[in-house]
Amino acid sequence: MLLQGGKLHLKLFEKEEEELEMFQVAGRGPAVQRHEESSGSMTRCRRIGRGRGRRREVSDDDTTTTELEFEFKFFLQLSRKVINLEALQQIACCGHLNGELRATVWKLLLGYLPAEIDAWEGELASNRLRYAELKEELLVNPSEYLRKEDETLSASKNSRIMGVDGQLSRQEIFNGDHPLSLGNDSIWHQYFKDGEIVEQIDRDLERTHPDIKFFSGDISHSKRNQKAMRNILLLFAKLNPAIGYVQGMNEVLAPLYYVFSTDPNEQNAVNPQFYAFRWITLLLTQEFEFHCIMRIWDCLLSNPLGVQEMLLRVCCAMLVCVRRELLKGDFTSNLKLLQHYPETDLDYLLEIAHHLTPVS
Amino acid sequence: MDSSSSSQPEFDYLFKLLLIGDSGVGKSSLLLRFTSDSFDDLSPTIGVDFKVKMVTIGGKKLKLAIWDTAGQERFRTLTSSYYRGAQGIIMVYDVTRRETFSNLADVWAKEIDLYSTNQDCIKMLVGNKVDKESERVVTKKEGIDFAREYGCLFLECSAKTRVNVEQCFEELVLKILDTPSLLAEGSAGVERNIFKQKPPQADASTSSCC
Repeated sequence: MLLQGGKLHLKLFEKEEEELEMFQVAGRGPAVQRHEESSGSMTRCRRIGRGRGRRREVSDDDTTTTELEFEFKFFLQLSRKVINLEALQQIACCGHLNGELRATVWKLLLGYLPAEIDAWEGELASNRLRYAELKEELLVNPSEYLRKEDETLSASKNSRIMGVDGQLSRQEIFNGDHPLSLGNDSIWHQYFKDGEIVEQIDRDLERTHPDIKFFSGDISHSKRNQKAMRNILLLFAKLNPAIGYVQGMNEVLAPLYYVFSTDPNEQNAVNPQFYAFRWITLLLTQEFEFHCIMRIWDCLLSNPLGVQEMLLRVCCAMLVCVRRELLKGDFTSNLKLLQHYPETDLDYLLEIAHHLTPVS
Repeated sequence: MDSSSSSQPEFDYLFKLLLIGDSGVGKSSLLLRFTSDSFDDLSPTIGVDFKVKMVTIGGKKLKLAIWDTAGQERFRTLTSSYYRGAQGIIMVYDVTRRETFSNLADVWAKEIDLYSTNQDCIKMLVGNKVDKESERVVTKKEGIDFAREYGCLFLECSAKTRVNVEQCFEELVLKILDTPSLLAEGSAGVERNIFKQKPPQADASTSSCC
């Protein structure tokens, strides 16, 4: 969950979308280059749990101050309209990137997300659409493709065919593409050629981190991950025919795919309307004990920004205060949490709300 | 969500159920009775409320995510998004208030047609507050006729005395379990859930410590 310029907006997790992010990052020339530049500094960062396969070894108790500091700096960055990439590089290099923030930081460092936070939503939407279109265009099985083509064709032909007593002429039956076509522009020919690449990719994907269930295992989600990674690699190969698929790409893709597809921001998204509507319309009166409401209202009424502005900041602070739970939770547990807001340290909450006030 | 790392998912299907109906008919009370077997004076629902209950019905472990909507008309512009993806919708009316029943046809059935994204979604009509038998103005037969006309299941219940409350949810869920297209959706939810609950782990044999 992210604070995007003070506004919270989250998307429900969708499989296609997560494939796309990988694809973009892996497939864009300059982005890859930038990745290599930054990966040098990444390696100096403390490694968390890789190899042993646990994503967060650090429990809340032994969270270091540096990590908190990092998070705080990061959130400060995210409360701006435009992220200062250089500052972010410094924070990310010296700080301790945890899994919760890494996806977003990487997307920024790789140039996949623009520095202007307001542009994120549009950028993501258009990239995802483009990826879906590419998949449709390049990865569809020919029989499926031809069937669709047929449907549109036969719609226009229908009237004519009806005229000749429902029978097709011999020519009409055979004029299409078919699996035995040898021409280079036959989509079947292309399909079988792709088959060889796919086989190679599949062989390699089966051997990608065989000790980590996320990548290889018989459970449905690892199969799904393999399928998504295959799509990414195959699309890259088809869009870059001079390079094609080279063994080892699977290894480079693995960390990217893992980080972006386990991005908590994508998976436990809750539409603010489901909780913040009541928070805002009732001025938080249903979320806290009566004596706490008084304290909050003191703060709302006295703030020079005005009640409404301050109210929104308190709401954001409420999210920040439970962010650890939110990032760990799934949709249902998160919605439950936000609709039944837990008892909280009010001083801390209000302090954060004040901190969220932009420096003008 | 607890982070226990057992390899079995904690449920077979996840279903989304929606409670709709006029303000004050007892939607939230019905839900409170079902989820925590209690009855209380509740303040009106603002926007939407949300509860989760794990049940075993028809031999399946189910996670029910139940959305309890605001009845007041002012909130109706918000409600359209609540219908999305619901496998079951419970329409509630108050057997002691005629207008809550007539609004089913005038308002609520239309809302379902308009906003429900799911063709096969199961509908259930529930007449609440049968404990106030002396004040009843809507007969059981009227309920049955409405349910027949609109293709709904039907029950009368009382959140106060708990009569028939569990049956409402049970019958609805059994019908969902009988509908293959809804089942497929419910299990997709499970898959998504497994995916999200499990960060990558080394094989159980190597990660049994800690």
